[in-house]
Amino acid sequence: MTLEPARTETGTIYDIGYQHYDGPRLGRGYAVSSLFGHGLMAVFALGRGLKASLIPLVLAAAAILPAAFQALATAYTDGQVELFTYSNYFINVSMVFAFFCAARAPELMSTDQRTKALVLYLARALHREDYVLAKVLALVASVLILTATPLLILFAGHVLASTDLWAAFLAESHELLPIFLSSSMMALVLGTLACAIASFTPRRSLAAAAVLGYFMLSRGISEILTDSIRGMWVVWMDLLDPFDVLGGFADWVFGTDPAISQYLGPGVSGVRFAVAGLVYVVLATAALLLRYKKIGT
Amino acid sequence: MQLLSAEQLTMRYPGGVLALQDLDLELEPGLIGLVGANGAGKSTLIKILLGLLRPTGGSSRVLGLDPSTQPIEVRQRIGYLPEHDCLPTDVSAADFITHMARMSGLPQASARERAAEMLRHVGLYEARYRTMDGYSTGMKQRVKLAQALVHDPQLLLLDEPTNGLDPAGRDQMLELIRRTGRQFGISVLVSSHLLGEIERVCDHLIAIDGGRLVRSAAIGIFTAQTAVLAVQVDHGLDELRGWLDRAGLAAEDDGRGGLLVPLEADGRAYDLVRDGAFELELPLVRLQRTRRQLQDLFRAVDGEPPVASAGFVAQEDA
Repeated sequence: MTLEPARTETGTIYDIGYQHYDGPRLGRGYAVSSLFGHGLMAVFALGRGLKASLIPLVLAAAAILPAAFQALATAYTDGQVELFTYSNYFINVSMVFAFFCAARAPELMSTDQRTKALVLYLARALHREDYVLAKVLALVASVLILTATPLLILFAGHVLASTDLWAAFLAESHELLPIFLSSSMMALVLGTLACAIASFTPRRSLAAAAVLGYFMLSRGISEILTDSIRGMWVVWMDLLDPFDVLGGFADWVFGTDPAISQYLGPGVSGVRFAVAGLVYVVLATAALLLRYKKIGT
Repeated sequence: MQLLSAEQLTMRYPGGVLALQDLDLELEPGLIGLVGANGAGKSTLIKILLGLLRPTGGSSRVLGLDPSTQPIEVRQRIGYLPEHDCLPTDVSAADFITHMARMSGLPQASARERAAEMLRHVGLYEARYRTMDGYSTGMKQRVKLAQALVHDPQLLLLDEPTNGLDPAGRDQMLELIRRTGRQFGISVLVSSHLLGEIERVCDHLIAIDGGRLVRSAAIGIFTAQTAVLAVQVDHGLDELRGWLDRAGLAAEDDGRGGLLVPLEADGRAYDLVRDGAFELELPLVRLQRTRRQLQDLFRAVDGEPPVASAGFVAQEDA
């Protein structure tokens, strides 16, 4: 092979020739999981320097720290001070999750549209749907970290406050499934909704405002309708606010007494919150897939 | 193996625009130029070959595979350079191309290694860890070429790779494309609205216009010598023309201050032009057999120049 000097802007480089690649080609599943991992890193802006990571990390801390304080309080006051419970945790810090989704969904969905890098993905070893699902799952998984961690900290607080750890663990272990269910539902609903809304604009600031605006407006509209509508329809109006749905779902899976629950009540079954949550997930995913059928080519 | 083929390929966009119309193609591996004015259907053809668009009629095959039914298999074997900007700004070229290589199925270690290798190939080795927001248009264009090559494709689809480049950057890009095709054994389909570029790097030409195939043939056919002599004199053009007329040669004005003289088999025209210029004492500055111009190809189609758009006019000055 002859050495051919290639003139570049930075000087002369001796090109040692082109090497063909004959290693493994791992295909679609690998491409999708790589994109998922890349998305997860992008949500927390890992590897982008401290400045870029500041907002996601501060919001993550805001989502988790109340649980840590509660766990400490449980330990020091022997369970007397209980501001945060498993079922009311989400509702009390719901705005943190709304901010987190609004801040990070545009990074996943809008950026590739703005830079038009989307077409480079679509020209590779994955389908449109794969791209969308990898991105959405990256946000869902990120939100799941933020929703499951504080509940697990509360759980640990209950267990560690006791002297007989094993007995306390067994006594508390029936809460693990509800913890998993409620934090997953939270992550799925918020993650898919935020991604769906953000995917409709390539402008990140607009996307962030739209996601946050949606969460705020849906709450307001739901409250107004609940107050103004009379008759049988009124019990359905709270389902317009995804946070009400998630709060109701949490109360239901943790078996909160309907007498003290702000969502459950006589004649209000918790199943409706589970169904409503899944409907949100399905609708948001369908909107995403429709959106991505139209763009990128 | 056959590189590309198309049969009655038709693409009608939902809005009703007919982008491709009954396109038939058979192409062997090599460096292929795809020319046509803006809107002729070049990008549409490339996207169908990538499996990104589903044709509304007909079929195509790329490396023996049908892109509308086996898009992933096709895309693993081809590299694509889009015509528009498509690079993120806040990551380094090395990280971005590594990521793209993984999207084509290369394991992390190989992806990293090949990304560095491709960036060296396009002359960006030193700049590879800088974020791309500081890159010039020429550098960005070369990153786009590197990402198209990183998974070692058998075919490159380059959509207007010289768009927006200055003359030096244009030369560099064309040289890179030529080397990729000639030395690496990778087939290239390069689209351009500038015929001169195609002429410089390609050995086969496809010309499309209004979504229809105008011609597909080896480039030599388009640029073969013609039986016409181009004659230029500093002054006295009309006198020379009259002289040649009397000598029995029907010279034509070429419209640019020169004459076109038919060259007969006996080669008499050379001598006559020389004698005429000598006798009239005119300074003869050009006496040359003309080559067929790629432009003629489009003009010949239906009398008027259907694709004499800005692109082609600019090329004549180059």
